[in-house]
Order: sequence, then C-alpha cells, then structure tokens
Amino acid sequence: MGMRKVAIVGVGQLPFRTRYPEKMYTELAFDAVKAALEDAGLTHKDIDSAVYSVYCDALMRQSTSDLIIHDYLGLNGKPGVRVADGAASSAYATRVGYNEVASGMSEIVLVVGVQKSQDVIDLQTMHRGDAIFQAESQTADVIWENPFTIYPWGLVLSAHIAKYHTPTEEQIAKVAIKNHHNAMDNPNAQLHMELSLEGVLNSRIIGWPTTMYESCLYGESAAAVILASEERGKEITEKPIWITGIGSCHHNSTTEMNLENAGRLWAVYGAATQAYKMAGISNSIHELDLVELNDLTAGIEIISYEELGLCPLGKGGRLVDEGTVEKTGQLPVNPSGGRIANGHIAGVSGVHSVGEVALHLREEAGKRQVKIRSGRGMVSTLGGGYAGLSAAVILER
Amino acid sequence: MGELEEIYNIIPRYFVKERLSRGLGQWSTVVQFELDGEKAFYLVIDQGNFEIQQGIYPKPKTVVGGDITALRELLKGTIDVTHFIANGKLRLIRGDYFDLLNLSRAAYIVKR
Repeated sequence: MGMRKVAIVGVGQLPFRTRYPEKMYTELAFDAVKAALEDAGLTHKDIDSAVYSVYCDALMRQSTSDLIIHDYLGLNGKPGVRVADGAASSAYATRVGYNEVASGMSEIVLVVGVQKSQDVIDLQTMHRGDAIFQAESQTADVIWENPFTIYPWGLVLSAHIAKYHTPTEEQIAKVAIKNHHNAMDNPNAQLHMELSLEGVLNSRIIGWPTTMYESCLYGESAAAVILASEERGKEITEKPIWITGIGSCHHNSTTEMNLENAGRLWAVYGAATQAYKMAGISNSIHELDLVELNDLTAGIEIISYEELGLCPLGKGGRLVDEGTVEKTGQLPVNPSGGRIANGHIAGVSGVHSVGEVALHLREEAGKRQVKIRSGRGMVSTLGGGYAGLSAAVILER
Repeated sequence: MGELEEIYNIIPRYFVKERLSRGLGQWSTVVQFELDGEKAFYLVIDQGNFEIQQGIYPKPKTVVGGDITALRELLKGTIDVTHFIANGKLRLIRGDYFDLLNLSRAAYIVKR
C-alpha cells in the first residue's frame, strides 16, 4: 500500500512563559488545541485520533496525562497515544501523527505537545528548583553523568571545538544575539531583549564555553497542529502545508568519544538524512527557505548547521559570520527566536516549531515572516540526556 | 583613590536593599576577603543589608581570595563572577559558592 500525502491544516501555539500559575496541563492543551481547530475551521468532533507529546511524568506528577487530556478535550472513545522522547518529543509525535494519516488509519489527526514544569516542589528543601532538577536529571544516568556535566551540551560542544577549532566564543555569542533579535518580532516569545556581544560573553558561564544568554529558556507551554489526508486537507483549507519528509534517529552522542565521533550530533544527522531523502532534497542550504531547530545552547545551533548539511563539518561558524542564517540571510535559522529567546520546554518545542514553519510557508507569520522562495522549510529537534534523540520534518507548500 | 578605598565607597553607596530583587533581599551571610597584598576585610550581608568592615570576622560563612582588581570589576556588575573563578583571578578558599554568585547577581542588579 502506498503512503498517502499528509497536510498540516491547523496551527495552535501558546506563548512560552516561565510559568502559567493559573493553568493545569489539561487547560494548556485545551487552549492550544482550540486555537488549532479554529485555525482549521474544525471542531473536536472532526478529529479521528490524537497523539500527545508529554515529555516528563515527574514534572507533572502524572504518568497517564494523555488519557486525562484526551477526556478533557472531549475525545473519549477515539484512539490516542502518547510519545515521550526528551526535547525532541513533539517532533517524534508529529512523525507518529504523520504515519497515522499516511497509512490510511485516520483522516484527521491531532498532534499536541504540552508540559507543565513548575508545579512541583521538593518536600525536603521546599524549593521548586530542586524538584525540577531532580526530574530533569532523570533523562541521564543519575549516578554517573549528572555530577560531572551539565547534560551533554557542554561536552559535545567542547569536544567539537577541540576537534575542529570552531566555533569561536564570538561566533557562539552571535547566535544568541541573532535569536534574541529575531524574538523581538515574535509576540509569542518568552523574552524580548536585545543583547550585545560583550553582554553575552560576560554573562554567567553555565558550562564553558556556554554562557547564560547562550542557553535555552525553560518554561511552560502547549502547541498543537492538525494533520489531514490529501483529500480532506484540500477541503479544509486553501493553504495546506504538506509534510514531504520526516525522519527520526536515536543515537547516543556522548558515549562514543573517539576521534571520529567526538563532537558530533549523529542523531541530528540521521534524522535529517532520512527526511531529506524522503523529500528529495540534496542541497539543503539552497532548497530550504527557513529552519527552526533546537538551539538548546547557541553552540549546539552551530553544530546543527553542520549536521543538517548546510555547510561542511567545522564550518558552521562561518554561516554566522557571513550572515547566512540571519532573518534576512540566505537561509534564516530560528526566525522565531529559537529555544534561546522564543522559549523552550521539552514536549512542546517541536510541534511549536512545526506550526511555526507552517505559518511562514503560509506567509502568515506577521512581523517575523521570512522571504519564501522555494516554498520549503525544515524543523530539526534534538533532545535527551545524551543528545541522542532527534526528529526532523520537511514542510512544503 | 586606591582600589580598596573604591570598594569601601561602592558598597554603601550602591549595594542597598531597596535596589535588590526580592530573592536577594532575604540573603544573609558573611563573606571574608583575603585578597593578595591587601588588608583583610569582610562583608556582612543581613537580609539584603550590606556592611563592609576591616579585619577578620570570627566565623565567616565564605572566604574569598584573589586579586582586588577582579573584585572591583565584579562589583561593577559587567562581568559575571564565574569568569573570574574560571581564570583564577578570584578563588573560593572555603564556604558557599552561591555567596559569590549572589554577590555577582547583586552587582548586576544595582548596576542596572
């Protein structure tokens, strides 16, 4: 049986915020789904099945949140499934939703990412931060790795610098400046502030060479997209955005610290390679109009350029220096402001980015709209305690 | 004006509770400074109120060594303390690293 074409017909995004103190996760999911359904001109009765991206049980003190959200959305009796793959969860969820439609199992599928992260408390210290750290540390080996690293990002980046002698600290800082500048045009962004090179470089060292302003934000949010078959997609909207490539890859990036593998993000490479092959893309920098990727740190964004094939290995810093990845450059990367300035919480960011690229391709992204030339955009996500989870999505209008 | 004298002027002038954030307004500690070639002095921070004194405090919570120029730069609030720790210009001799992070955060806030 051949695979059917799959369209994105509805987008719903809530702003990233440090905390939504007045909302439960069910309500955040509801708000994002309502916005996506309104965008598509559908109601919950039109949904055939739902895919939930909820990254962390410990942060929500709930291990079957998908069932509770499903009920809250009025979808009882319909198929539902939950996907959890670190900070890449919701792009993996998009892949599951894609498969659901492409295979013919469903006509219209809801993909929703939601995560609360601040409604926990450590009962010994009575600090939220301690409880959050404990929950987050469960994505790596809690006995061995966590006392020694700030997760894998610093490790991969410093290994990359040792191997390729790039990126420089200035190039990394420029990525943070770029993404913060982009976020100024995004009303949904969690942080609106322009940064200087000196300010970024002199801010707190989180894990050399990454400083505070080069690190992703951490908060709460929800986002949703509605996927539809070709036939239904064309009925629903005049501007369907097609998923033409999709891939995912599990590959631990921190255990293979030999000369060949150190400083690589093989998961990002693997997911992108699958997606490019499916979409027929052979020269990504010339065939894409924008990329939204997981800049969990600014240095990781630069390594991602290389793994996505936008430039040779070790040359990612040049794309920053030459302005290629600026909003007005040849290939804008993270015009939303990315995880560094738009905001981030695992479980949500991927589907937020899928919606973001769809809005750009529909030319409905407001002040942050980039120029659409080829009509193709890409989402690349990365996550997990070992930088080992990645999913990539190619969108086309 | 010498660097130590400058620090004695900066603390009471800028580091006042009203200018700090709510979290730092509840911060209490004593930080002893034993800087290279300088007379010892200490900071008493009580619920966000700063007081600078000459000499040795009997039981300081935190003791810091290093270069007085680095401390003066830190108190300007333009460079985070982690950079001075990383390049060895300031040293935590004993005590709580978070006292140094908080001092840097306070300097950044009062500068703004």
